[in-house]
Amino acid sequence: MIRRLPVYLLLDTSGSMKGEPLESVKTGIAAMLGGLRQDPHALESLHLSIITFDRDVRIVLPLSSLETLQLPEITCPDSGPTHLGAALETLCERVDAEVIKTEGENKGDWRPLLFIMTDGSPSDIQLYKEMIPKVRAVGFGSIIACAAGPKARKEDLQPLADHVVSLDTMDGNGFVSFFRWVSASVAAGNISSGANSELHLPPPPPEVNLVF
Amino acid sequence: MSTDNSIISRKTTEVPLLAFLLKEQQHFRAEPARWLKPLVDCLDVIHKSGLSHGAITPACIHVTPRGEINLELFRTCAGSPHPTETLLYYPVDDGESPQSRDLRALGAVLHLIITGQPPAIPGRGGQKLAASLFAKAWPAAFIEAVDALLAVGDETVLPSLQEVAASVCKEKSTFPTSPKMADSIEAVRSLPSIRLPNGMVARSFSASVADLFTGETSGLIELIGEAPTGLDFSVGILSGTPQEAGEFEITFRLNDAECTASLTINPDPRSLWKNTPSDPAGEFWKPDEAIAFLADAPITVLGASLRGRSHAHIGGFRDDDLAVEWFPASSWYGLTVADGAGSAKFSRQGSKIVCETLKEQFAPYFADAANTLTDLLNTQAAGAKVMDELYKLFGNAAVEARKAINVQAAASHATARDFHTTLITALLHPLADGSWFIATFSIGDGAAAVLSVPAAQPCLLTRPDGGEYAGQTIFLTMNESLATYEGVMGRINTAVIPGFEALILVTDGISDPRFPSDSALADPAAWSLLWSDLKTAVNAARSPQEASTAILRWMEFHSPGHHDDRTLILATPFPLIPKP
Repeated sequence: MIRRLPVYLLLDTSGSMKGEPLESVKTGIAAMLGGLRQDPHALESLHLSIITFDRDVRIVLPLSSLETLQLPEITCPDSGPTHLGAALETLCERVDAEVIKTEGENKGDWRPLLFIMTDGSPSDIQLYKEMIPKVRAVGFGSIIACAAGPKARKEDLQPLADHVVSLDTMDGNGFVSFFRWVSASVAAGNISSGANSELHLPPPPPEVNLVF
Repeated sequence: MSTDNSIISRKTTEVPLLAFLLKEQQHFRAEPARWLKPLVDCLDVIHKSGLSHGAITPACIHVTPRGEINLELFRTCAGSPHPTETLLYYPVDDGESPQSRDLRALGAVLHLIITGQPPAIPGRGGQKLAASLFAKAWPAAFIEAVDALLAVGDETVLPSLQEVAASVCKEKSTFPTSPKMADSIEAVRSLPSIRLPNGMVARSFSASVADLFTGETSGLIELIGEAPTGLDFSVGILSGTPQEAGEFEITFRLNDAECTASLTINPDPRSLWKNTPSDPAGEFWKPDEAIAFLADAPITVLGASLRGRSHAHIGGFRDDDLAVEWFPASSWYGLTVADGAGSAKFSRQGSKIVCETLKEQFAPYFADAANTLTDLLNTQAAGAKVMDELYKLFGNAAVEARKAINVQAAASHATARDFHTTLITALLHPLADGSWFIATFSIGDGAAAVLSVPAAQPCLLTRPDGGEYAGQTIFLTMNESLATYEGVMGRINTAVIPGFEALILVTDGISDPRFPSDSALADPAAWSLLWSDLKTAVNAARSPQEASTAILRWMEFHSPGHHDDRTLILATPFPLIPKP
């Protein structure tokens, strides 16, 4: 049985992402998938899920193998809040249901990876704060959060993520660079193993700033 | 006069509606409310003042290159009779109110905008716009309103201008958002594009295109243009074995409508693996593959260690290592495999240090015919005494190996974590009565097992340290691995067997793909299968060196998703290789 590398992508689709930012994100994801399809490791083991969040949380792509998956339609409402806390709640349920752990006859998957992209701050801040320890307890191999654009609050993301990166602008260039970097990180994650292995992140491109 | 002058000067960049429609019809479809509302409002103002326009024709409606209607001109035209030829679409005066004639003229203009054609009898409609034909491009309520404007018969009630304007603003969601949509009536009839399931190069593919067109499966589907190399289209099914990877757009025709199907063909991952040699100048370099064997020992001992594809792909180093030793004076064998953590930067050296240190530690102990362990075994001492001696022997060796790693780490300005490694070591000794004694010590994953004669359970000699996710394990370089007496004792296993076919040690690069679960790892049948494969692999070998190399080549077996380094040691008293 193939050991899968589950990768979860949480995308902010709140109103402020409408238009060019969302189109750029979609272009970035498509480019990322195209790149990953050239990586034999990813093609054999990578499984991707995409969850979007605005007022509602949507599982636009349940955990699917890179080999079979097709990029779903991703849309944005005109306006509305950013329910990141609710998205994390859904995420925990999905990981619980989808990711296989070592038990009896089952051989566990690789530790899942989590990428979060947001251009604002959580509107459901109370729930968001409650979810942080629960998400940390899932045992993700790494949690990487991307604060896109000037309104994204990096300090909100730091308690949740192992690594926070920021994009100064929300244009195509930035998002494509970010997702290219995600695919490079995923390729690195694929070959890492070990009890306390941290994901060895490749150096980010100039458009992506690592936040310390 | 000044107004007229300005109109004339504008006319140089503006075109009459009719000319505009010939090229830019889709512009009106894109945002019907944006241009229609001001036009209707303008007419409404004229009507409310008790007047009529009297000249609503394509000729007096001018449009800028950006599609904006010149309302000023439209207003100026009101009430001023035009030469008859420009009133082509204006209804003749047959007693109807001038305002109603305006509305019917507007209906004719809208008909022109919607279909690109004037109504058959201008101003006297008589034919309905086929709502189904235009429903995708225009709000249905708007089509109805235009049909009502063009309706024939005195009893018909014409919709008001407000109703016409409102009809366009209704059903906002059905507005076509891009000019790409509905470029022509044919385009309106075209089917939505579909996605075929993904394919893979060199793997058989079959997808029913017909089934993907819901509700349109009865018609004849034809392939227009070419299918990706290796695929053929016949009886509604696209099938074959794709030859090239990429994103493809395939065009089909169904009942005179065209449809595009997108198809992703993945490359065959096997074709993507690169084999880049590691850099011999790199720190702690070791060869990408290695063999180890005992040339003169009474039993056959073969070993091989191979860099995994994941490392070969990026020119990385082999992190596994191995060592085999025979101590002739005491007739003991020491076999060790070690697996450096993929995530630790110097783990290749960690595994090497472990193998070397264990060998160094065992060598003096077993250098002479007499040693405590042999004595205890020959005098059939209590098991507890044997375990105590093994605790000292294995425990000390492991501690020494860890010390050596710490020294190396300090010298390399690194930490012990950078040298993370597992280890499995086995000591093998023939007892005076002809039976065999085996003791193993392990930290981490991988496994050791013995196929005894007669066959007996259990065969597994190690208890792999695993976590809830793949790749999680314990390393010698972690404090917890040797933290307690009980912990260390739990890592030791012993067996006394009348005879054995094979003793096999493997790192997880082999145990992972070969044993699908922990229960399979404990199943002698699964190990027998491995042993049988190894016998076949070394079948043609004429020397231990050839046999070890044959195992090395056998370890290149392909198992999707399993591309870790692979190391294996095999000990067997069976005459596997013909004696020279």
